[in-house]
Amino acid sequence: MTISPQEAGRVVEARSVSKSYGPVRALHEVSITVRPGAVHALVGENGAGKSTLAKVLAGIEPPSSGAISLGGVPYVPRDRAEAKRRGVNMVPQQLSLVGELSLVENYLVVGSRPFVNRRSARSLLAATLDRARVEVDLDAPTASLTHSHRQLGEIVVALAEGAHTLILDEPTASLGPLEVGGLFEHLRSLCELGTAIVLITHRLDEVRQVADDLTVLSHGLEVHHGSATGLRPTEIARLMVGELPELAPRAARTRGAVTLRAEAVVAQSTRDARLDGVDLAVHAGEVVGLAGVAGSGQNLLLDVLAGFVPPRSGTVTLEGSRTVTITGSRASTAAAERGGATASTLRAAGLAWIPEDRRDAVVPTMSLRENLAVYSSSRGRRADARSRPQGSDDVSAPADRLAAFDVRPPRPELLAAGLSGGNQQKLLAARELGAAKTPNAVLAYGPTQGLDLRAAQAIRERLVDLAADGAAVLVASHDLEEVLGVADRVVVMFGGRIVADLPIAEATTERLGRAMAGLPADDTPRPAISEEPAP
Amino acid sequence: MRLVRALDRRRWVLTGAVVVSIILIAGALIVFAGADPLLGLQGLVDGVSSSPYRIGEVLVGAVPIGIVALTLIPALRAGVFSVGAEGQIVVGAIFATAAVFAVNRMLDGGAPALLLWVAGFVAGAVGGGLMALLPAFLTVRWRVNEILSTLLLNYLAAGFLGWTLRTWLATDAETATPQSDELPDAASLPSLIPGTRAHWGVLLVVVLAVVFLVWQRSAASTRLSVFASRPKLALRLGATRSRTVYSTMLVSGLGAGVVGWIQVAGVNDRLLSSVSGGVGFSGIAVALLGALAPIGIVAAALFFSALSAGAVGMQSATGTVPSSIAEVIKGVLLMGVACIAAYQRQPAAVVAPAEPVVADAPDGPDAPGPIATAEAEEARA
Ligand SMILES: Nc1ncnc2c1ncn2[C@@H]1O[C@H](COP(=O)(O)OP(=O)(O)OP(=O)(O)O)[C@@H](O)[C@H]1O
Ligand SMILES: [Mg+2]
Repeated sequence: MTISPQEAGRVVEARSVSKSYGPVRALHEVSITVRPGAVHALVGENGAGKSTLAKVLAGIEPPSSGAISLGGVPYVPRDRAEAKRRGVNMVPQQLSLVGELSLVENYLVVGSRPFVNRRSARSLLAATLDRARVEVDLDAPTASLTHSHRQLGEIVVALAEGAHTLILDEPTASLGPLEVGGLFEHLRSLCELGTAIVLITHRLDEVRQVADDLTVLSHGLEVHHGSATGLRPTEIARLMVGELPELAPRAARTRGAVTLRAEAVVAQSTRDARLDGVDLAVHAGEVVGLAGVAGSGQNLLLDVLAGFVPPRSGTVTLEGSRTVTITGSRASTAAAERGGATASTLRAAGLAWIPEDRRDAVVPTMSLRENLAVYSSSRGRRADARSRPQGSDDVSAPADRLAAFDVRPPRPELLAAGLSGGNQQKLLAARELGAAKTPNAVLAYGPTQGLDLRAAQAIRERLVDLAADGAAVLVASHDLEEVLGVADRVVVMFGGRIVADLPIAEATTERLGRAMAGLPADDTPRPAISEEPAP
Repeated sequence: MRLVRALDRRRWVLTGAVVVSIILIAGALIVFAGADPLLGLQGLVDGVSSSPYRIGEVLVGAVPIGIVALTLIPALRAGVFSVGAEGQIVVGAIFATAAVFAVNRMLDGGAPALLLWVAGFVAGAVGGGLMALLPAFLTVRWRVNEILSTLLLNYLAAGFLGWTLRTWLATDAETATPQSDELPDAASLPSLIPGTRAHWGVLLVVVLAVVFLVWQRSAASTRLSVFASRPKLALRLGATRSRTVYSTMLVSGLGAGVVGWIQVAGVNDRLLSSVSGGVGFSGIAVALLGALAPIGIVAAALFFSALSAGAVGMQSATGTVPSSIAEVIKGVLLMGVACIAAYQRQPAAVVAPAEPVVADAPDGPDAPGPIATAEAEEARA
């Protein structure tokens, strides 16, 4: 690939960059060259320093030492705004959209343009969305969008801002295959126009799919760089984390009685998402996968099952040492409040919860220890805590628990904000899945998002182990592979209904794909949805 | 840890810069008013400490501010920004005054002091509490912004007070300003230090400070912090929106209502139209200045009160510097504190000892405030 002189003026080159956070050495003498017109994949295990390198390049964090140049001249951005002016932009791992504002308003807020025109901003964003072949509501407050739409929105705002070097920190962690496909096509077309793209990802097939160059980080060190073409995912994986342990063969499990049950649940959330009479039973000792394209209602179903959203009608039941039942009623504020009360009753009855957005459940301003023990501050816990012997439950040996889930660094006194994205996800898993007492039921949305291969495998095994110990596990994801990796049975949602329920042996990608797209299971040309009687 | 020390050092530098700029601004203002800064300073110090009476005045001024600020801790920690203390003080004072007169009349003027105190205390608390439950209800039921509703209710309370002092609680005597009859002697709070106006309310501040010191380590306190930043997780802890808003606003309302009683029974001996006198707003400022930590709040309340008392001394010493210089200095101080707080939010500050010695600022690095719909996914700031 030849580089025109104009393009040579835009090469971003970091030489021996180091960055320490107090005693933590996040980057050590790392070098990287980002060239125009190519996708540069940046991979490495959780906490390897990928986000830190990205932040240094984008002017968000100053390096402790080392030099960066842009087109051969020194490049020392004081802040993100200056980096943007120089043409380097970044979509951070932790999304930064303002929740109260729509995407258009967010775009207007971040820009440094002297004059803003709402109408032209809107059409610019709409055109960008169009090119990436995705649909996101431009005018709704971003807080009301789904997690994946917020992720897409953040990317689209950055794309619309226009940059010659664009850094995307795990842009695909919460996206489904359809959205990823459109996004990558758009990225490739940007590359053809001479944009340089840095892509941080844990999905190695994506590296093979779009990347030209590859840099591998490990423990803050650069362990490999070179061309990405021709590398197989397994080779990249070996570069990243060494040999992966063999997947343990699936132990036979006995399916017990129904633990978690939804019956004819009808619910409506803020915007388009709704449930239209959902029946679902998860048995003890079973892992059920919940698949569906974004916006099919999986989010809402999990929110109803966790007790956050009261159903309009229908019932949700959790069997355990005692049975908790939520019965639908007219949705009103009062009912929503009662819904809140049920979330804590369900938790007390042994419901573990890993939300789609880990930031709903991890408190960054609290230490790791406090995050692990947060449920000990539940209402009404004090009375029974006093009668029980001390240290029997969650609070015991937080360091051991962190180590068991491979949270790095496993220092209980560290604030959660100091963990890398993937390690925050492990922290969440350590709290929800690592308690001494096996939960009765587990609700997990994308439990392995943002995790490296080894950690993802560990979490999958943990979920299966919990099922073997008698928990009823429900795993939802946009990522079919994540579902297929753990599930004994796959349930597909479309348009707020369950449209397929297949044992894992019959759950071929083809059949699931048809169901997820709302097509009937067999080949008769008859839409599955409109045939169902209206409720 | 080296980083922590470096951060601490920079924080001290920043704090020093704030203090120096306050001194410079105050000095400039004094010179501008045509006075000698050293003479002004002398007047300030004298105004605060030249006699036991003056020290007593500082305490008297710090009591209402301190109580309001301390009882605001839970609300501010939960991100419920109630600015209604002014109105709650007013209503508490009206209730307390009316209750004292009513009890006294019922016993034909022979009511024992203890009974009158209890009546005033309880009635004040009830008045302030009711005044706080109204905006809490509006917030929970119809999502009316609590800053707006509490602010507007302050005007309603002020209007109600004016009407009260001209009608059912008005004194028969000829007075320059509207006021009530003087309270029966038995109803007024005994003074704590003889020869000063410092009353037993001082002890209440000490008690409240201890109570909140203990409370800070409780599960309830953790729940409120979680509620402020992670509403969904808070639901799993049992901290629903209605429960949190009602309970925290009630606590601040009770405190402000009791302040209303204290101002009537301990300071003015009658209900005046100036009963709240900006104490409600100073209380919020002091709570933030004290970083929501009880000790910090008590210190900040004393400081605010001393500044006001000292400025009066300065005015009389120099003759030209208006005592409102205290308000300017408080304003500059608050801005300085805001700067320090903003600085502390730097992401580099994440390596810190786990046990917070001083409470966190009201909102953490990425706390978007309470947008706690169970349904709405969390907004990110
Ligand atoms: N603000 C911070 N304070 C202290 N330590 C930090 C901070 N940010 C990152 N670190 C540490 O730096 C290291 C690298 O973090 P970084 O976020 O770059 O990892 P990453 O490669 O992006 O991992 P992931 O795949 O999990 O996102 C980690 O050990 C992390 O704990
Ligand atoms: Mg990262």
